[in-house]
Amino acid sequence: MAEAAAGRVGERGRFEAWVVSSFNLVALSLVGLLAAHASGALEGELAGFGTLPGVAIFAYLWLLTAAATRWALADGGLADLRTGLRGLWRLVVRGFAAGALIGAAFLLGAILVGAVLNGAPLRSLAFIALIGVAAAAVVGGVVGGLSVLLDAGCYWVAGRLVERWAETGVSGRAADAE
Amino acid sequence: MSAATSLLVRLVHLVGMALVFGGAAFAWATLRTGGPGRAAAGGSTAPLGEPATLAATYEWVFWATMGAMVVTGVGNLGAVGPPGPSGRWGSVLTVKLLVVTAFVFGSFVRTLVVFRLRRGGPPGSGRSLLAKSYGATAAALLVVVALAEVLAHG
Repeated sequence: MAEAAAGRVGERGRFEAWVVSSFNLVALSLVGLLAAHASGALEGELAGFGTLPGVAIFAYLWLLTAAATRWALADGGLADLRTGLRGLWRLVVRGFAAGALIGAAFLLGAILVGAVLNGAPLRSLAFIALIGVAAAAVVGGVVGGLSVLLDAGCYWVAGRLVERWAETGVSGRAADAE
Repeated sequence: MSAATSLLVRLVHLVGMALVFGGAAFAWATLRTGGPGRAAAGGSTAPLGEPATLAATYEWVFWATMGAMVVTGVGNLGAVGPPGPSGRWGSVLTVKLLVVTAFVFGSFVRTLVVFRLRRGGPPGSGRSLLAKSYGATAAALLVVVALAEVLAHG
């Protein structure tokens, strides 16, 4: 019985990590697309980009986001928000750390693949990579923290919807009973 | 982009849309008209049982498909050459991106409703709320399809 309960919790954890990571990536991509289109940069950026590299980059980013989100939500997940500001703060810190990991790993992977494909000596790239990875970690951390705030807002709205519908259901049944 | 790659990208994009729209319509119809648990629990505010499983399965598929659709949507734009922000075509693209972004946010709230109900929502809160959510999802997807048609054919 305990094993079955643990399995259910594990399945819910995987479900939560999957939907949260996918939403964050999709939302971030759409906001980025909107910004690029509004500024007129989309035309130029897409022109020099192949389909396969685009798909590979997106898949790599998705994989990193899913893994980092699973880690960030492992200790209680979004249900932590029920404990108020303390829970939110804990999630924001974890989101910052997960975002920093994603940013650093993403740039590091891109630099390594680029260096291997172009035959550039890795040692000469080490210094640039060090600075770049540090900057990407900071940017990723900020994006991760902001994403948690966005997720928390949506979680709150979902909670309000469920409560409102429950109240409507209860009052409807009470009226039927009378 | 080669013609074959372009065709594959469009195929994945279209199949993705068919999957999320068909899935939402199916979930809406199942939750609205009956299915397991409804008769026994007595109506549209029945507690969740099987409907939660159906909803969770849809959400797994939905987010995987949304990811695939974003990447193939960008691929489609790359194939046809994206418009600038000004002009009629550029404005339609702006509207479509705004509508899709709003749809994604709304869909995340719907997914979190499913998540909260699965974690032990109060009895009587499930079926009708989910039926309305999936009905709204299908309706919103029709608007997105209409915008995509305008974008593709003018």
